[in-house]
Amino acid sequence: MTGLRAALATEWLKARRSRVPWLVLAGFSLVPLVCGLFMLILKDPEGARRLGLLGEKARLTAGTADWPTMLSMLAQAVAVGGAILFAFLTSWVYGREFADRTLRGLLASPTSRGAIVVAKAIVVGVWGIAIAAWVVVLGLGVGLLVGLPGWSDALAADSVRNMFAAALLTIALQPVTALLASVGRGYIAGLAWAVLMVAIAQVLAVLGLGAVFPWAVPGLVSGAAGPEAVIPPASIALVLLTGAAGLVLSVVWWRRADHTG
Amino acid sequence: MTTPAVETTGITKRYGRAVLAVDRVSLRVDRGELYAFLGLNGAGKSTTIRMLLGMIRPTSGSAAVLGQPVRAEAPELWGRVGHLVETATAYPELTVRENLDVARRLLGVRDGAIVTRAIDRLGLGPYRDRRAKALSLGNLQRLALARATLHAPELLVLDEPANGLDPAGVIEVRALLQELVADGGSTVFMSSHILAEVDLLATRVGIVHRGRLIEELDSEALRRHRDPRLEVGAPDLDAAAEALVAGGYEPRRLDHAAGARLELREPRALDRPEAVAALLAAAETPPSHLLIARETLEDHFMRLTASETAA
Repeated sequence: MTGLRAALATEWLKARRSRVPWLVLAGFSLVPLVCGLFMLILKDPEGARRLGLLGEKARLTAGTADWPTMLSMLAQAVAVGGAILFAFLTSWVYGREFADRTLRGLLASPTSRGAIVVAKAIVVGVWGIAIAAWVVVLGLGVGLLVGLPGWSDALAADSVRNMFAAALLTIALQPVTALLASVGRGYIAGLAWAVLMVAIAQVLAVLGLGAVFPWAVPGLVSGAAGPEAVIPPASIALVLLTGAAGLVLSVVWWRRADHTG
Repeated sequence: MTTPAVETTGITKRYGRAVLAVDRVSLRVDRGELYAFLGLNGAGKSTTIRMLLGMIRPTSGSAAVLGQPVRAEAPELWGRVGHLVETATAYPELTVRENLDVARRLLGVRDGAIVTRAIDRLGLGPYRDRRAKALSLGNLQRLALARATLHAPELLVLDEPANGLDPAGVIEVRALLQELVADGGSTVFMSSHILAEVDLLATRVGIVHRGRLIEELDSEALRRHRDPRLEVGAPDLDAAAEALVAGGYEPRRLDHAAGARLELREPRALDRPEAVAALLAAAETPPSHLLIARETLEDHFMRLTASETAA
C-alpha cells in the first residue's frame, strides 16, 4: 500500500482544518449535557418545573438520578448517537472528495488509492475514539457537577468499558458507510444508509434478533438490552467482519470504478 | 526510436449501448511535443484524458504513458506525470501553500522547497496563506497548474489549462508550458478551447469529433494553415482546376462549409490574383469567388467539424 504515511498526513490535515469533525465533536458533546440535564430533572422534578425544564403535567415514570442511570443512558446514547454522528463524519471524509470534485487530485498519483481509503478510515477511527473519550470525560464531569449518588469504581470502569466498546464497534462499521458514500459519490447515500440501519437495528433488537444484525450489536454492548445481556463473541466477530468487508470493497471500488466526477 | 510519451491504440469508451464517448482513437505523442487535443464540448476529450490517466477504464483498446501500460495503480509512473483534469479544484479549507503541500506529500516528494518554487512560478505569492475557498477562479486555476507542475513532470496532461484565466494569465501559462517543454524536456498533452492559443503553442494538433480522431496536423500542416492562400470558387470547379493546371498552377481542392473551393498557394497567384481571374475567364469558367485567405486554426477547426457534422 504505497504512500499510506503521506495519505495519513494529508487526511489528518484536511480533518483538522475542516469544520465538520469539530461539528461532530460539538454535536456529540450535547449527549452528556442532555443526560446531565435529565439527571437534574429526575433529581429535583419540582425545581425543574419551576425553571420551566419540565411541563406542569409531565410525569417521569422511569429512572432515578444516580450514577448507574447516568452511565447507562450515556452508553446507549453513545451507541445510537455514534451510529449517526460517526456516519456523518465518515460520509464527509469520503463523500467530500466527490462533492468538492477533489477526487481527481488523488488519482493518477504515486500514493495508491488503497492507501487513501485506508488513511481515511484511520482518520475516522482516531477522530471517533477521541470524540468517544471526550464524551466519557464530559459525562463524568457533568455527573459530578450534578452531584449524583451511587458512584462505585467498579460500576464506572464497567460503564466506561461498555461505552468504549460500543463506540469502537460503531466505528468498526463505518467502512460500510464509506463504501456507500463512495458509490453514491457524495454525502447523502452514506448518511441515509446509517439512518436506515439505526431504524432496522431498533426493530430487530426489540424482536430479540439484535445479536445477528451488526448495526444492533453496539447498542447491545452499551447495555441497552439490560446489564445481564450476554453478547456472543460471534456477534462481535460479525461486526468486525462487516467492517472489514466494507473496507475491502471500498478499496476495490476506488481502484476499479470509472471516476468521472 | 524513443518510447512515445503517450500512445493509444483503438482506445474506446462506451457507456451502455447508447453512448459511444470515445471511438477507436489511436494516437502517438513523442517526447518533447506539445500536443493539443481539440474538440467541441462532448467530443470525447476529457474522457480520453481520463483514460490516459487511469481514471476511466477503456471499453476496448489500450493506452500507454511514458512506455508503461496505463493502470489505476502505478506509483512509479504517476510520479512522472502531472495533470489537471477539467475544472480546477482544491481543498477549500486549506490555504494555497497547504494545498500544494498535500500534493507534494501525495507525490512522495520530500523537498518542501518545491512548494515555494511553484508558488513563485505561478505568481501565487500574495495568496500563499489564503484559503482556496477565497481564491478567484483564475487563481484557483493557477493553483491547479502549480499542483500539476509541482514536480516538473515528464508528461503534463492538461484539460483546459487556460480556463478562467485573464489575458495576462493566458500569456503566463503559455510561457510556462513553453518553458517546461523547451527547458525541462517535458511533454505536454493538452485540450483547449482557446484555439488562438493552441495555434501559438502546439507542435501538433489532434481534432476529435463525436469521439473519433478526425484529423492530426503536424507543425508543417499548422504552418500551411497560417500561410496565405488564394481561394477560388467557380460554378464548374473541375473545369476551373483543369484550366489552372494548364496555366501552370497547382490547385488543391478545399472542402469549405460554404461549398467546395480550390486553393492556390504559389506566390505568383497571391501576388497577381487578377491573372488567375483572367486565366479562368479565358477558359470560359469565370471565378465566382476569389479571395486571399489566411485560415486560422479556429477557421480550420470550425470548417472541419461542420463538414463532419454535415456528413
